Amino acid sequence: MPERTVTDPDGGTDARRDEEAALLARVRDRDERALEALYQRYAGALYSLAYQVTGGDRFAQDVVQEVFIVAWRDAQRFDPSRGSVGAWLFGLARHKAIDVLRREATARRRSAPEVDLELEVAPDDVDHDAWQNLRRERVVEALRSLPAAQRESVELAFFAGLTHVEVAERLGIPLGTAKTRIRTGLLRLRDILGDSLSEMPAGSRA
Amino acid sequence: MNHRHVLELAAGAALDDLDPEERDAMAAHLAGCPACRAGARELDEVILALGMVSPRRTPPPELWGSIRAAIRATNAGSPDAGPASAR
Repeated sequence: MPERTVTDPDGGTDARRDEEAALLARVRDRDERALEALYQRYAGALYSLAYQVTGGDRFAQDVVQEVFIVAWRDAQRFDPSRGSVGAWLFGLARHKAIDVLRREATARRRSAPEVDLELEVAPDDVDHDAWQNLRRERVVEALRSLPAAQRESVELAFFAGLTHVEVAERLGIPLGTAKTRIRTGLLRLRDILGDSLSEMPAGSRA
Repeated sequence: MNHRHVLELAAGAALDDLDPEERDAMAAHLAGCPACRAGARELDEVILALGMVSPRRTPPPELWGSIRAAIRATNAGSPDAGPASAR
């Protein structure tokens, strides 16, 4: 493991949240540059997630495009008391990716997607940096430490683009059980990741 | 409603899986409970963290241009776009 001397380029969670909420307020007032700033910040991660969920560049582009069009059109739907702009954008992306998959599924029946979170580097990985990699590593480790049933449910819901109903069907479990596994899994991730969600990585303070 | 239950609802909310009654119950509790608000916020950060773990890929450079064109078309096509036309 390399020396952990990276710092959080965001300048901390609170500052980031406030800044992004301010950007979105400007988007609401039709400031294109504010939308572009959010795009610069999140397009790569949203595209990567959408690519993983939908399995294709074209679909992933559609997802990202739709996310930013919704952000532009419906910025007033974002409620800062309910969460961060980033999480809102990921929520939109997940919805759009599910839509894309559903459209596709009508054309051809999908086989079960394999969720692959190996820390391999994608072929066009040009903007990875130490901070992101460290953060990813931690989250992947946290996911791996979940009980298998929870992990599987969370991964299907988040990375495979399945609705909760589909997760239940795929696993052959009641919907209520699927929901509980997903919710409990997310809570457990919160416990595991704990302070690292809101703080810089430990090494950066050394 | 106990705090654990509220956090479970918050986890449901994080993946947009609440029915309206659950959403209202959660909002009512969060309004008066800073501890659960903090918990809900951390769940939000979990979603953000999960969003960062997919193998990293770079969107094509022309994507922003096509988004910009689309939102400008939205502005032009919407009679109630408001201040949009002022820019």
